[in-house]
Amino acid sequence: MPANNPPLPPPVGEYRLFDRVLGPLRAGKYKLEIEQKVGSDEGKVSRFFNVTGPRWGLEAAEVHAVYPPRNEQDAPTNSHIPFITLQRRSLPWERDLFLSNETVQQYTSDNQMTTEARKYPWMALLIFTENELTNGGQLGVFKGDEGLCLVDAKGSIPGVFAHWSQTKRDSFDMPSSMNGLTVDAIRVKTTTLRSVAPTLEEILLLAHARQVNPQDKEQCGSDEDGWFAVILGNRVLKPDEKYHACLVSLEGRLSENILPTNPALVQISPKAANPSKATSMLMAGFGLPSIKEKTPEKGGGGAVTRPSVQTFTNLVLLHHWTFNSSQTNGDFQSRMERLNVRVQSSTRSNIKAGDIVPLSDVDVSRDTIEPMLLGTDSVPGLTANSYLSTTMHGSDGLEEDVLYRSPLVAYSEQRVVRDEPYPNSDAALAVIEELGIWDISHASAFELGRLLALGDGKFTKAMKSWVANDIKKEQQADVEAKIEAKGFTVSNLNERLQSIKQHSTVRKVRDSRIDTSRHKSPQESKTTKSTDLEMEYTGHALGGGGSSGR
Amino acid sequence: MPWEEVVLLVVEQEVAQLRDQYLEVAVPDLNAWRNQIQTLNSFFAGNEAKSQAMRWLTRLRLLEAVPFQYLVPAEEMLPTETIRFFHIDRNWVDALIDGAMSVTLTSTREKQWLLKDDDGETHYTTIMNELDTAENLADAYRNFVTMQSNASTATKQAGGRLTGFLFRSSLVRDFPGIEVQGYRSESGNPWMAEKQVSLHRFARLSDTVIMVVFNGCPTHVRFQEPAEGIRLGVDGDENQFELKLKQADGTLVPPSSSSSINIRKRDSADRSVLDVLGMYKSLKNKISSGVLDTSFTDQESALIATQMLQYPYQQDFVPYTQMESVESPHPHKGALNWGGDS
Repeated sequence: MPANNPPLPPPVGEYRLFDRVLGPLRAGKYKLEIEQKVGSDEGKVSRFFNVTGPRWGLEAAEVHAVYPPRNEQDAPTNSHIPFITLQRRSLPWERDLFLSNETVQQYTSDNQMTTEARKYPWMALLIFTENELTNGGQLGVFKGDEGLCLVDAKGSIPGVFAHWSQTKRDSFDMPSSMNGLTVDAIRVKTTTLRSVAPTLEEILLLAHARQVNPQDKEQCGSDEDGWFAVILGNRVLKPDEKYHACLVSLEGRLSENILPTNPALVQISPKAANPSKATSMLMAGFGLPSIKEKTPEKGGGGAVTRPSVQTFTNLVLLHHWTFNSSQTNGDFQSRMERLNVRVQSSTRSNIKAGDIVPLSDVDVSRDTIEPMLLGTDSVPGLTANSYLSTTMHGSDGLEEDVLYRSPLVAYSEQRVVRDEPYPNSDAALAVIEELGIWDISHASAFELGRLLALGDGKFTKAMKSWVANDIKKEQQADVEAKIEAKGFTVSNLNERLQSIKQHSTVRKVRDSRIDTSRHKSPQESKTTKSTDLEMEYTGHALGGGGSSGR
Repeated sequence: MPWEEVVLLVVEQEVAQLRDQYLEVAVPDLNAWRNQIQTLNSFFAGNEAKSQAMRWLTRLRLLEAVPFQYLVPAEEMLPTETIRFFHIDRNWVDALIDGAMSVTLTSTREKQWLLKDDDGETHYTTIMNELDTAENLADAYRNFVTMQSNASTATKQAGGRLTGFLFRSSLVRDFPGIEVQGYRSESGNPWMAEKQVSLHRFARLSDTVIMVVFNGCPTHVRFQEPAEGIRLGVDGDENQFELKLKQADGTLVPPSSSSSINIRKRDSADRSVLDVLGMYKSLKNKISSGVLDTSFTDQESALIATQMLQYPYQQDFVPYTQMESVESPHPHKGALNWGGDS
């Protein structure tokens, strides 16, 4: 896709998928040198600028959605894959995964993958079970005030980049002044990380950009263009587990050997790796982390053969959410099917009229449900035509039963077009003759409109000035029409006026009058006085326009 | 400190080249689309004070500033996890506008102005008619996209019947970007693009409440899982995960021995980590063997995503047929079709 030609949104119901969206410049510091030669003269000027973007965390607004939803209790298992949708389409490709002296070929021998470093995203979505992230009883997720420092240790936990040399950190644009900066982070056993994290090639394959049609949506949040970036996880969910989804930054981390290379694969899960529901629940319930955890540490295959690998790896955490999986699915479909309806009547003994039950529990042969309309007599206190009985407090302190109805009603209401507005809210009151009580709906609407307008000075000012200008224009048109009716034209009169103005005696009279006023109050500031007069006059003319109405 | 350098060397002969470089990084005019449609700004152009006032009244017309308790005065009207359809009482909204205008039109001359004849209509009628048009223009980007993609619904009636629904559910929070379409159909397949009823307003009123207003009265309403949040996943079960292959337009490859690929898992932990790279290579083979479109050839992550996308879930709301058997006269007759006929 050409960078300066983003395609129009796809048709409704369709979407487009892109490998990536690359901005013209990646994040970093830039120097712009401009040289100009005109004949033998030379000029040179340098300008510096930063292209910035999120690095140590994502603002809430950068994240459009997560799946499974945050704190979901019934995340779908065994087929759906967690993912995160980011608001900005180019975000995953705005920073460098590789350090400036690294190449793609250093880390992959796979000739099917691109060797262009900037095509690799700098982030990955890791899915851990709570057990995998827990070490010695402490959960390896550090957020907010509990976050880890970039370099400095916090308690017994070293900073995220503490094991890097200062030279390396400097070249990573992380001067020592940033050592104490606190960021959200995860701390996980490197062996666990290597067993769960995607390979370098997979990091590229798991990030894409998406364009959808925003026509049928809410304003698409703050973003109206319908573009998103999506990062996928690489893990299906097992039932009855608590999961942590962690969007982590891998910027510059490849040399630490924390990502798996050529992991061992299996085609079919043998029974042993597929515990029955009862077993897995038992494990979740009683928690056997101490037994499970020791195995990789002692075996430590990775750590022994690769001495550079640390036992624990700290990673910058860009976004984090948790969810639980269970035997029932909490996806869009099942939630939609569990929408509540009100029972009108039922032949079942345990359900009575007025009960609110999920749609999926309705027995069509035995239950009749209320129509899904807003404000029917199935709601306590409401009449069939959406009126709510309420109390009005009069200015005389007396209370009176009245009816109110919102603009949202259960049945179609004919619009009665009026030629003129209600002059005041009392005029908008209606009486329900059969009951002999007031219907205050339209009167309340009138009052609400009045209050909202009073609360917005800009509106009242704009409306006033619109009407005043309009009245002025109409008056002018009236005058012109009268002039023309007498056989003159406006331009004729203007010319005549000009010629009178040229007449010297007229000018003299006016001059002498102004002179007189000056002599009368010599000590007063001339400018202030004239400004005041002018303002007073203008104000009078405007205000007076209304009062001398007829 | 390493500096990445962008050097633009200007000598007379290289001006053209410089221009080309600039073109490459040019930021597109993100507002160009506004020139292609009528917006509130263009509708009221030429009179700034009027434009400002009318745009404010237009927002009020759409009930934008109206407190929620005025819309839903009793909590039982909208219990949690429910959808409630409604008609809009335009008389209520007109009274609201009258109230707002009454604040500014205080003097006799101003009040007279409002009732003054202006080409056969009072100013008041003109304002109300203009607001009927203006309320259709308020959601400019949606109008633009609708014009681009479904021109048959781009023409909206002005000042006619408005209906809609309030949807209160955790789905609003957990699946942002839910898609809603309304259709009006007396007979035949209702889900046709030309039967679509245009959206008048689509707003999130709180974390878990959305309000949708249709310009017209749909008989069928369809909710769809957000396209940017469509589930991704694999087919098969935990014993053997597989992917059913899809072409670039989203259609499934007709079932055959070669219409799916098996997916391996990492031999570690609980064997739930998928071999994404292996999946990619198998897909590549399916392209070279002609099972998948050649348009996939240069794709990487987009190919993976296309194959892993699951079809979005749709929830339809259709006419509530049981109403016909309800004893007449029923208070809901004449309501939206989920309660009666229209």
